[in-house]
Amino acid sequence: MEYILETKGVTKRFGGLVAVDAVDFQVSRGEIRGLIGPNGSGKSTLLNLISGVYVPDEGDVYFNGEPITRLAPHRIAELGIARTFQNNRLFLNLSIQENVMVGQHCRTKSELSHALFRPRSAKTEMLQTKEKALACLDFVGLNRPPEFITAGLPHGERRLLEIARALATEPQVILLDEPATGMNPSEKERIVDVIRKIRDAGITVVIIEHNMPVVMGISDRVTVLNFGRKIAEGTPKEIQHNPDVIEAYLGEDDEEEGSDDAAQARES
Amino acid sequence: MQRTSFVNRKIVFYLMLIVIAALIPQVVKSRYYMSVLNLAAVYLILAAGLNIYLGYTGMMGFTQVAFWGIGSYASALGMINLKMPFWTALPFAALFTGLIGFLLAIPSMRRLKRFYLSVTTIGFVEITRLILENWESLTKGADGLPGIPRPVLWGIRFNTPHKFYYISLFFVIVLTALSYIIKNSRVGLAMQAIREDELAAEVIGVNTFRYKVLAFTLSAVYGGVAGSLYAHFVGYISPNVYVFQEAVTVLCMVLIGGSGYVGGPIIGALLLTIVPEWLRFMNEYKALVYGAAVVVMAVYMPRGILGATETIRARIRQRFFGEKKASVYPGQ
Amino acid sequence: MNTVLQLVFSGIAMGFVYALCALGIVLIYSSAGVVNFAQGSLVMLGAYIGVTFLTKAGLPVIWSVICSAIIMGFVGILFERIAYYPLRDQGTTIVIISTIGVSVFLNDGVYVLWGRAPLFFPPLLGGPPLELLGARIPPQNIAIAAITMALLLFQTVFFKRTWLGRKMRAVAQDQDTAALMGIKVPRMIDFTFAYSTILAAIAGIFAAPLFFVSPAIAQILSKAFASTVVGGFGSIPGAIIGGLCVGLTETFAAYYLSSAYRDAWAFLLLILFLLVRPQGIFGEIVAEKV
Repeated sequence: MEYILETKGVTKRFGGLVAVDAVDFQVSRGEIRGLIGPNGSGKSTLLNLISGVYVPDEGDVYFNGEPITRLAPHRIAELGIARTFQNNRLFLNLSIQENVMVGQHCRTKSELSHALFRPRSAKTEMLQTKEKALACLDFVGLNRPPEFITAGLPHGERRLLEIARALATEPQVILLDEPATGMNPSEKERIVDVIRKIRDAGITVVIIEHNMPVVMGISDRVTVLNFGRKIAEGTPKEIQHNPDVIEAYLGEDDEEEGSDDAAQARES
Repeated sequence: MQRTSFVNRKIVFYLMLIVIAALIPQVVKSRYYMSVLNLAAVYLILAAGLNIYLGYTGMMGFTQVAFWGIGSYASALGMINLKMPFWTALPFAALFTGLIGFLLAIPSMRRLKRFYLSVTTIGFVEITRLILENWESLTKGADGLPGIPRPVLWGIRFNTPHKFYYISLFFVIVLTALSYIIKNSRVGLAMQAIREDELAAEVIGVNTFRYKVLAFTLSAVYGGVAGSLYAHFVGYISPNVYVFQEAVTVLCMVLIGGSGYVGGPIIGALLLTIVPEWLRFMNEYKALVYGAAVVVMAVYMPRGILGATETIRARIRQRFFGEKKASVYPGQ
Repeated sequence: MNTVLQLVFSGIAMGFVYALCALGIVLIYSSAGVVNFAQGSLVMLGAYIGVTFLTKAGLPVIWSVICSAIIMGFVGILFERIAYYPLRDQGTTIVIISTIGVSVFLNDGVYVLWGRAPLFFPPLLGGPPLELLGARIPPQNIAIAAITMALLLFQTVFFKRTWLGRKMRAVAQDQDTAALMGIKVPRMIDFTFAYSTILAAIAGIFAAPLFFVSPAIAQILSKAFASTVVGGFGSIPGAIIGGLCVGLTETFAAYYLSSAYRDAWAFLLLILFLLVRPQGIFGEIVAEKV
């Protein structure tokens, strides 16, 4: 069968450091795929390679069987891969509605010439964009006045807003980079619900997450990276009992967050 | 419906502003002060152009002054050498300047290296001055180009500051309206997204290269119009008008008025052309004051007068135009 | 033959002046992430201060250089505190704007202190030109080349061998990690600005005898920028090689092609590189950190 998203032997080096090392990574349509690994294991770099932020030194990325390796990020978004960032990258001086409207950019067509010479069609499209943005805000459960300026949002809601903005691009695959970090338990629950809802809407989800209960709870399958290499792949249950994985996490016991993760992994 | 009545109020308000602006020549009899207002209009258009790529798109460049010069010479030479009427020469100057801006933008817009634009534009200002000074067969060199014809329309010669004011006002209104339309369009939203976070905009599906080039080209078109107006208003142009310091004056106008706001260039240009008339003594050290003002604005009031009064204005708008924004700005 | 050699030497002298200015820009860029548009004006200020020590105070050349370097070091820290420090968390555009403000302020400010007339700066080294393979080389050009190379050697040792230099390099590579390791990042950025401004002072004193001392010296900024892009933005050897490339291109093109357009050649070289090899001579195509 054909995977919706696939990397074949992608490698990325930064100077002497190999951040991602010949990784083969396949995601099937409609699944929630967890992507875990200790700090600096190359998870975010892999997402950056898929979304076109970095160009791999070797290997290729395929989306629905088509190579997308050298496409500009905005072309990849247009094809149907959306993403969020590990540290929020919202448009802080725009309203929350405008943030999501930017997500609709690649699905709308009005150029300046429309705004000038066919104001009616541009206006209709603008209204649709606004409606759609409201729907996306509603989907993630962000209940604020749409004119709210983003800089005033607390952290948890910023994460939701970023997801709403990504959803506005009408993606087939959404890549979430640590969506639950820095959230309190009730917010975490909320985000898990949102992710399930996204999958139920027919969108494939790839999620990087440090919080083991979250990622083990929602993923259909989990891929584990360590030192840029894929060391394991399987259902959450298989991964929790995989000796390589346990060792990878225990190996960095001098680092607090990692050992926390490992402890969580064994408990859950 | 209440909504429409608010919209109408807004339109009535702007129409009133325009009517007041149109009545100024009836009240102000001094030729000198009308000349100052015409120059203010030229600066206003330059600043509005800078506002599109600095205020909307978040890039910094110095080219407005070079585009001003190119527009002036293109329009003047179009009328003198190619026998164009003013109403052809002005669009010709605007398009020609836009083309130059487009060609300069292509190599300058590197992804995530926004400052490359600032770097290339410094050189571009110098090179424009060199060409204007040295291509004597075309530009008459450093001596300048005298005898630029005045615009004529329906048999009226716009040869006094009072008459020319209406042409200036017309273009100020048209280009301000254009700024407004751009800002509130899909394209303008994409530009503002680039200003806020270029990488996020690109990843979310905005062709950032394209809109950066577009913003820059548009600013060049504004510069071309300003140049054409200037040339035909003053009647004599020379390369030493279009110096780097003027780029800083225009920058100062945008910063003081409020970068990113449609009204910012209007307030900035009016303030900085009218206030120095009262403070003549500081003219000798104008650049010194502007330089200090730029630093102070950047540090303490990066979004200018309009940005600093955002909440008050939002409250007023809510009151009179029924807009709801006052309660949602951060810090309120 | 001898013309070519003569041009080579004056191009190299010019190039080293550009390189010193470019080096200051690159050092500040890599440690603070800021593109300093006031560097040209700092070079100019260095020239003014240098000429004051030399002609008004009557100090010998070497002491004038040292005294103005010290003063400029403090100017650098002051500059950093005013134009960069309050904006360190803001975007690059706003910092560019504030450095432009400083630049304009300085360009006009020197008129207040030193008057509008350009000042004369005597040659750094007097004496007859040296004859070498039929070329006549002013001793000053040799002095410029020799001092710059000594300075670069000192800089290499300083960054590689001393604690302070290593700390400054650590900050340039990764501020967060450096801070975690207990390095006082703001202090190191102070030092970087001070050092870059000292380089500007030296560049100013080199430039002074080649031109007159006037705000026109500040226009060296666009040549320095061209040098950084040609060499590879952010690279230290790139700034030096880029400076030499720009200096040589300009000297040769001005002689053989057109001297009226002397100041245009650096710009053309810049555009050419942006089109054909945007990463410059030494730059790798490295993705920016996300």
